[in-house]
Order: sequence, then structure tokens, then C-alpha cells
Amino acid sequence: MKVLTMTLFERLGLLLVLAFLVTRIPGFRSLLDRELDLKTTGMHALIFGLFGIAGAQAGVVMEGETFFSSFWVFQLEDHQMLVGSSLVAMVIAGLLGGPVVGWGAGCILSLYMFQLGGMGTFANILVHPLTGFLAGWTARFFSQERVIAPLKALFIGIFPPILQGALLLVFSSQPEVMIPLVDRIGLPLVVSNSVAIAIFTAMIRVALHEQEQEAAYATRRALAIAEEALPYLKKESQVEMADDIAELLFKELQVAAVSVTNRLEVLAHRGLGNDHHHRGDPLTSPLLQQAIQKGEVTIASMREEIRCPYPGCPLEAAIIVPIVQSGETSGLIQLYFRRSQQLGEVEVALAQGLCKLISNQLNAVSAEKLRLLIRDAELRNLQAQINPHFLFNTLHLISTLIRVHPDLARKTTVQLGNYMRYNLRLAAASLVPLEEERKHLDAYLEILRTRFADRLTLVCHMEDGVGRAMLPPSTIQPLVENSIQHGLKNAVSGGKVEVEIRKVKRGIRIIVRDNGCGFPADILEQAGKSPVTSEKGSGIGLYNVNQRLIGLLGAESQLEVCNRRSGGSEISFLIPDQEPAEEGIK
Amino acid sequence: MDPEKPETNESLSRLQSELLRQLIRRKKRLLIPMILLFAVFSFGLPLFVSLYPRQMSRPAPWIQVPWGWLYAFAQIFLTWLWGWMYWNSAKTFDRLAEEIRQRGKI
Amino acid sequence: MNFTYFLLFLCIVGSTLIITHWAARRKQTTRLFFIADSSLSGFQNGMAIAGDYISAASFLGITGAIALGGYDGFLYSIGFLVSYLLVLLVIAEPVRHLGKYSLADVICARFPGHRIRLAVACVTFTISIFYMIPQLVATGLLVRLLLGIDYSVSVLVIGSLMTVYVVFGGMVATSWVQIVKTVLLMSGIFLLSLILLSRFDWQIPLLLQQVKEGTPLGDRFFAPGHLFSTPLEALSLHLTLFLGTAGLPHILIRFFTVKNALAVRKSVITASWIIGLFYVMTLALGLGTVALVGWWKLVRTDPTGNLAAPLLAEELGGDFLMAFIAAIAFATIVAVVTGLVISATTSLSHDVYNQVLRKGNASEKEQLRIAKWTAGVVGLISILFSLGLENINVAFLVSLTFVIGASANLPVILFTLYWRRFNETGVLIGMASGFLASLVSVVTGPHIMHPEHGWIAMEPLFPLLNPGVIAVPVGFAGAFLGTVLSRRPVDEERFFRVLVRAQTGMAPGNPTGRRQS
Repeated sequence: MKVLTMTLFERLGLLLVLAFLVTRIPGFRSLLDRELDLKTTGMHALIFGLFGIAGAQAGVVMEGETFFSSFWVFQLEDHQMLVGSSLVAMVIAGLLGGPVVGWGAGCILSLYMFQLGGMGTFANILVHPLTGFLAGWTARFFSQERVIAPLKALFIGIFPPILQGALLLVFSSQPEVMIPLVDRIGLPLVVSNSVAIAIFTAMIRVALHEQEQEAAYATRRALAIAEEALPYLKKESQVEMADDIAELLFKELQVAAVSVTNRLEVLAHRGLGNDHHHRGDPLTSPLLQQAIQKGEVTIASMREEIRCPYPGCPLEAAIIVPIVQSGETSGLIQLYFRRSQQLGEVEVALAQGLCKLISNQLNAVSAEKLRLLIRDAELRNLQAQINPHFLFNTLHLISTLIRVHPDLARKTTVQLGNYMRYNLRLAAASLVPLEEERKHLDAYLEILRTRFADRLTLVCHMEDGVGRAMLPPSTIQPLVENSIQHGLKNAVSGGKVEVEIRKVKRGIRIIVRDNGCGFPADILEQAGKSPVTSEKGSGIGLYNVNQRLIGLLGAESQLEVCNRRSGGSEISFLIPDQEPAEEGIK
Repeated sequence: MDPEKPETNESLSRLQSELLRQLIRRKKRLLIPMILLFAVFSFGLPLFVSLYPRQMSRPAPWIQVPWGWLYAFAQIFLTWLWGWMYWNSAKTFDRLAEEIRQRGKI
Repeated sequence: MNFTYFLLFLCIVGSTLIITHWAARRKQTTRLFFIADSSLSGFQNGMAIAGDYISAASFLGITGAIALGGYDGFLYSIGFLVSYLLVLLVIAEPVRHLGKYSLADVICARFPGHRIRLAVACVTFTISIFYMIPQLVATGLLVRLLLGIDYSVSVLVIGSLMTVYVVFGGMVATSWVQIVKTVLLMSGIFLLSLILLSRFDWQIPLLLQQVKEGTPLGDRFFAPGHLFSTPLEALSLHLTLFLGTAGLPHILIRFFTVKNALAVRKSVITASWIIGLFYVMTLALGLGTVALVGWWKLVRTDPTGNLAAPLLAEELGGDFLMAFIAAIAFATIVAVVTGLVISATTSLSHDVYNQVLRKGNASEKEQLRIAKWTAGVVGLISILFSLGLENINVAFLVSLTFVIGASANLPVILFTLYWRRFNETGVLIGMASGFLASLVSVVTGPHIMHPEHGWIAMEPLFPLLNPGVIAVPVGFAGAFLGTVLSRRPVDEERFFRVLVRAQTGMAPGNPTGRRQS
């Protein structure tokens, strides 16, 4: 018995080497995916069946009291029996692939045993599918892990040889021969099979662990990159942000080149091909347009798809990652490779992860900004309610009017009350109907008219039928305030501020014109785009209005500031026609 | 416990106890005969065997198995059968018990 | 020492230790320790009950009894099965609804009080220990026989193992060890039966023919023999078995390991099917032993017939198969004793310590700690007892436990569940009378008092080998009289509440006091 056990182990060694090599094949990993369609199940069953046949051949031929080993056994005589490790493959098939795979592999073995002949054929035909099926069935019972622990597998592996021995005895026609045979092979089979199963299971676990480790590593990298990118994303200038991001990605990802673009043109390029890929290059490739449209990671695997006009461009393949903000693609990150073979699953997965992370972070950053702006506007509203200058001046006006023009004084008081009432109400909502904003503006204008009756003319035109459009509160009044405080601050008389609200093709346009001194050239570019600090604080006002318009109505609504040819300034913005569903950030 | 309606507990108990009586009645009606019958059948075996050993050894007609063996096997099958019968009727008991439980909730 | 046996035994030990380790890794709570957090399914619990119930006495003993006595042996086994119907119909579900961890909980649901609890706990403990000792002794003998290991060493090893299972794995480990044992046992016996039948070319008449040749009883093998000297003995034994299972605490606490009444029902029915199949197959094995091994060889090897199954395995499959069967027998015993350890532990730590000594105020951690220590102590006591009883025939202890269960426990349980007038006095008198009746009748009976091989060499005072027919009525009478003769008023309200809870599983609103549980 000892000799038999040792021989079985020796032959088993060959099998183990073979199995180890198999686990090194990259495609082996797919074997461990438990997708249960018919084709993969069949494939798995076939593979394990072949393995089982190898296991059987890794055994010895028992003949009476003796046994011998040979390289390959094709046919057995009636008094011979092949004793090996075929059950090992059945158990592994069941443990990894489930009862169906186990049973399928067993059927292949059954056919093989049938062809092989020899003693105990019937029992062998039965035991293999049964073992595969039972192993799969009970594996679920014993362990929730993807691959069962080797020690548990060891214990499960003890029983199939016992089952085999029992079935051999059941279906034997010559008990006096079979009983000593089972006695002789029983223990060696139990020991060798169970140990083999444990070792195989351990090997498979190692392979699986490696795969998981790779995935974990890639994930860690993606997260680290996204974290490093965060401070760059907070930058105001798009170009600066693009530059820094491109630099970071190029350094971390070790790709051939990185390009960062917005919807229309390249903003930054690092790496190979930077002699002909410049900032400002238009986006020519239809693939890029498609990526912008769909907002999905796209792969260009051929040079033709990249459409670089430069003939010697060394970049052959690219992964195009859109940056999605509030459901809209605001730009693209392109990762270039020198050869398309370098585009692997890991790289694509990394790119997809990065895409999501960066988009999320951008969303978070802009949401944070918006939150601050809204809070700022609320504060401003609150301030306006108790704005000491305005209040003081208006009360002073009222007090002077009381004696001279009591009716006017009364009217002004009412308007002041209205104005403050609208302020209170408006502080609560993120969007209000244009009608309300008009009333707010009217109250303000009335007061101003009374104050500056001789110096300023204040006019407001609103077309019919636009009252129901929604816009952020306190957007028109600050523009008027800005015109008066800056454009007309030196006007002694004849100053005019005109507010025009009219329907245009794409929506409703609101224009505030004045005939004052206009914006100074250096301020003009930046007005509204960045907070311009000034003592009176109105620079923040334009910026605040602009950000709120963009944030709540979209990029189309941004303030357009220009100086009029006839002198003075004109600030306008658009309330785009809203689709019934979209209302921007709630 | 509803403190505003102290008599609610009383009336629920009354309803509950009525349902409970029903449940017990049905259970008794089923289980007592089942047990008695089974007990009689079951105790019959050792009695018959010790009192009439010869008759029990005689083979039954058609199937050449002695009565004693038939009786013994019948015990096994009857245990299973009685168990299955109980399993079926127990569904009714479950329903009644659930109802009593529901009435106990506020 | 035969290496094959040793290796297979080692496999059993190894897998049970793995189960224990897995059970121990879960977050330990008292619920988990005592009742596996009620997480078993009906089917699993059914397998565990079968594993708890089928002892080596059933496996080896009944196979041997059938091999030796034919029909009479089979008759003996029937009694074990039919008892489950009583459990199913009247006992199982109400016990589940009323109790928390132990049998004492069930009784105290209606009769709270320390005296009652102590009484029930004592009887539970006694039954568990009495049942456990013969099992340990049998294991020691078996291991000595098969592995050649010294008796004391084997008892020590087995005793330590069962203690380890309970201390570290609690009820979870116990249940799963029992489930695994059931699977092993049933598949092993099934395979053995298949091999047996194939020997006779699947023709049963051939087997029966061979049986007649294999026994000196010849044709009369199949006839009811003289296992029972009188009808009274037969009746008495049957009564004991019929009523006994319903009073065995270690079976009853298994009902707490499932979620609800439906699962309890499923458990009992599953157990009855498994046990029934088991006895049918042992019949086949017993007959096979006679046919293939022969009466003479069997008696020569072991006059009690307990080695019938291993001998048959050897005949059918040589050493290897015999080793397998021996390993199964080993697993069988281990599973049963583990169940008994946890039953004894529950009564000591939950009933005596927590409820009585600490008035139910012990913290979770304390309860768990005490429970584990108690399990260790129980294991130790059992080991010590068994070490001293190597050569004593202690098989009668098993039948003693059944009698105690049927006469001390069952009347009290039945009356608690269903008799309106029952009261505390009834409980105490009933348990005491049943217990004493059983004890006295066995001690003065032919088991102990026998002129030749009894402990006390005298003519037995009590005539019956099976005292059930006397002890059980005494138990019932005690409970009845104790109730009727005491002056206590009937607590209708309490009975009603208990009835509702027992039958429906709910505890109705109790405006006056705490719910005792």
C-alpha cells in the first residue's frame, strides 16, 4: 500500500506541474468567471474532462496483486484497472464551476472509461458524473468564498474515492477479486486524491489572488491620480487647469502623450507629438465629436481614427475620456499610445475610472462654488434688506419729501416696503418668475426715480407673454445698480438706464443699457468672470449674478458685457427656452 | 396598549379567546382521534406479537410475508402517513393562529 | 494500530474541528451558544435531530439485535420511530413557543419559580448525564477494539473533543456536527446496503434464503421470538419508547434552533423520515450479517452482537469498508454525546446559574462565560464517570433515561400545556414521583439486582426489565394527585395566556406583570 501511495504521488506530480502551467496562461482567468451560459459551461466541462483524463492516465494499472505504470494506457484487459486521480478533476470541476460543469466533466470521463474497458467499468462510469455533481452541489453548502479554502477542499476530497470504492463493490461480479483490490487501493486513493485536490485548490487561489491584486493596484492608482488632480480642478482658468492635468496624467500614467481639450479645441498637450499638437488646434476627428456627444469612453485603435494631419505623427492609438459636468461633456482627455497593442484592458479600465472620478470631482467643485454663490446672494439679499446706504438714502428722501411732497413721500414709502418685501421672498427661492423679478425691479426703479428725478431717466420695457419664464432672483436689479454706481457715477444730468426684456429666437433676452462712461478696458474682459474687488462691493455683484446665471440656467445665460459704440455700457443675458424637464441644478 | 380605551384589551381578549377556542376545538377534533388511533395501532404490535406469536408468523395471503413483518413495516409507513396528514391539516391551524395573532395587535 | 482506521478517524475529528472553528468565528452571543440563534432551517434541524437521536446503540446495537434475534430486533427499533408522532402532534410546536433555551423555560412559562426550575433542571441534567455515560463507555470500547488504543486514553480524547466542540462552537457546532454525521451515516449505510444487495444479484429472496442458513434459528428467525418474556414486558417497553422521546430534554431543546412552528414541524417530519429509513436499512444490514457473516461467527466475536455492522462491512468490502463503517460509528457517537453535553450545559448554566442563582440578571458576557465553563465541567464529570466504568455493563442507563423522560418529564409537560387545573404542586410531585419510580424500579430490577451478573447479587425486587408500565402511570398519578389534593386556587388567567402563547406563538398583552421567560 505504501508503494502504491508513493507511486501515485509521483505520477501526480506531473499532473500538478501541468496544472500549474495552465494557471499561468492568461486565458485561464476566464475559467474562473462564473458566467453560466451554455457555451462557457460546455467549454469548462470539456477542459475539466480532459484534465480528468490526464488524471486517470497519471495513475497506475492494477493487475491482481501488482501494479505497473506506463506512459499512456489505451486499452485495458478484463482483469486490469486504471487507478488514478481522475476524481480530482471532477471535484475541482464541481467546486469551481458548479454542479452542471462537474456533471458534464464527469460525462466526458464516463465516455473515456467506457472506451478504456477493464475491471469496474460500470462503477467508474457512474462515479465520475456523480462526484462532479455532488461536489458542485455541496460546495455551495460549505463555503461562500469564490474558491473554497484548500483545507475544506481536502475534506471534501476524501469522500469521492470512498464512493468509488463502494460503487466498485456494488457493481462487481467477482467480489473475491474486487474486495482485496478495493482494500489495496482504498487508502492510497483517499490520501493522494484529497491532497491533490487541496494543492490544486491552493494553486487556483493563488492565481485568483494575483488577478485581484492587479485590479486592486490599478484602482489604487486611479484614486491616487484623481486625488492629486483635485487642486488643479479647482483652478479658474481652463487653460491652466488643462495644462496641469495634462502634466499630471502624462507623468503618472506613463502613456505616450496626453491631450486635454474642451469642446472645440485642444487646451494642452504633453508628450510625443507635441511638436504638432498645440493648444488651439481644432478637434477634427469625428471620433472626438462622437465622444463629446455620447459622453462615453471611446477607443481609437488605428491611426486613421485619430485623424492627425501631420504625416509623421508617432501616435497610433488613443483612449478618449470625456469630462462630464452636469450631464454635459465639457471637455476631453485623450491618452495616446504609440502602438495599439499597448491598449489593454487595464488601461481602458483605468481610463474609465479616471473619467468618472474627474467628472465627479468637477461636479463636486462646481456644486461647491454654486453653493457658496447662492449663499453669497442670500447674504447680499439680506444685506440689501438692511443695506444702510440705500435705506438711509431712501429714508432721507422720504423725510425730505414729507414736508414738500407728501403724496410722493407716501408713494416712496410704499415702494420701499415693496422692495423689501420682494427681497424677503426672493431670498428663499432659487428660481423665480420673470414677473416677480420685474416687480422687484419696478419697486427699486421707482425709488431711484424719485431720488434721481432730475439726473437720471430709468426705463423698463418688458414684452408681453414673457412673465412666466424662470430666472434666478435678484439678477436684473444688480445690473441696474452697477450701471448707476459705475457708469453714471459722474453724470450730472441726462443719464439714462434702459432695461429691455424681449423675446428672441433662443429665449428671452434681458438687456441693461446705460449711456455712462462704459467699462474701463481692463475690467471689461474680466467683468463677471472673476470677482473684482472694489470698495463698494459691486464687482462681486456682477460676478455673483454671472455665476448664478451660468449655474442655474446654463452656459448660454452668461452675462455679455460690452461698451456701446455710442458710449456707455451694455450688459445682457439670455434666459434660454427651457425644455419642460431640465431645470438645472436643484 | 391603548390607554384611552382600557376596555379594548378586554374585548380583544374575548375575541381572541373565542378564536382560540375554535382553534383548540379543531385541533382536538383532529389530533385526539389521530393519536388514539395511532396509539392503539402501535401498541397492538407488541401485544399481538407476544400474545399470538404463531399467528403473526404465518404468511399473509398473496404476499408471502408473515403478518408480523407486515404489521411492523406498517408502523413505519403509518408514522410517515400520519405525519403527512398532520402537515396538511396544520396549514389550517396556522391560518387560525395567524388570525389570533393579528387580533392581538393594536 | 491499523493505519486506515486511524486515518479515517482522524478525518472525522479534523472535519468536526473545522466545523467548530467556523462556528467559533461568529460573534458569540447567548442566543448563538444555546440555540444557534434560531438559524437552522427545518430540513437541517431534522437532520440534526436524527443525528442527535441515532446513537451507536441504534446503529451497532440494533443491527446486532436483528442479526441475533431476527424479528424481535426489528420490533425493538420500531418503538424508537413511532415516538416521533406524539412529539409532532402535541409537543414540538408548543414547546418551541413557550421556551427560550431549555425545558425548564417551558414549564416556568406557566409556573415561574425557583423550585420548579431547579426541579426540571435537575431531571434534565440527570437524563443528560445518564445518557452520556454509556455512549462514552461505548466509544472507549470501540476505539480500543479498532485502534488498539487504551480505553482511558480513548475516553479522554473523545470526552475532550466533545467538550471542545461545545465550549468553542456552542449549539452551532453541535448541530452541524450532527448534520454531517447524519449525512455520513445515511450515505454509508445506503452504500453498504447497495453492496449487500448486489452480492445477492439484487434478488431479495436469495438473501432471505441465505439468512435462514446463517442462523441456528433457521426458519424461526423470521418469527417473533422470545425477546419479551411476557406481554407485559413488551407493552412496557413499547410504552416507554412511545412516550419517552417526547420527554428527552436534549431532543426538545433542538426545537429552539429553528425560527417558527412551521420549521419545527418540518424538522420533526424530516427526522422521522430519516430515522425510518435508517431502521429499514439497519434491517437489511442485520439480515445481511446473518446471511454473510453467520450467527456463529458473530457471537464468537462479540456475544452482544454489537459488531454486526463492522463484520458485515469487512465481509462485503474488506478492511477498507470496515474502516469506513467504524469511522461512521465513531462519528455517530461523537455527535450524540456533543448534543448531550450542550443539553446538560444549558440546564446548569441557563437554568441553575442564570435564572435561579442570579435571578435572570446576569449580563450577556457573564452568561456566555459561565456557559462555557459549565460545558467544560460537564465534560470533565462525564469523563471521570466513564473512566471508572470500563468493565461495567451500563447499557441499561439508556433505557433508564427513556423511562425517566416518559414518567417524570412527559406528564408534567402534557399537563402544563393542556390541563387547566394543573399547578405548581402538581409539577413538583409529578416530577418527583416519576423520577423516583423510575430510579427505584430500575435499581431494584433485574438490571441491577441479579443473582449472577447484577451489581447487587440478589433476586430482583422489581420483576420487570422495563419498568415503564409502572413508572409512567406513577408519574401521571403523581402529577394528578399533587394538583388535586393541593389547596391552591386555579389560575385560569395564566393558563389562558400560556395556552394562547403555546398554540399561536404570541404573548398576549399582560397589563399586570412581567412576562416570565
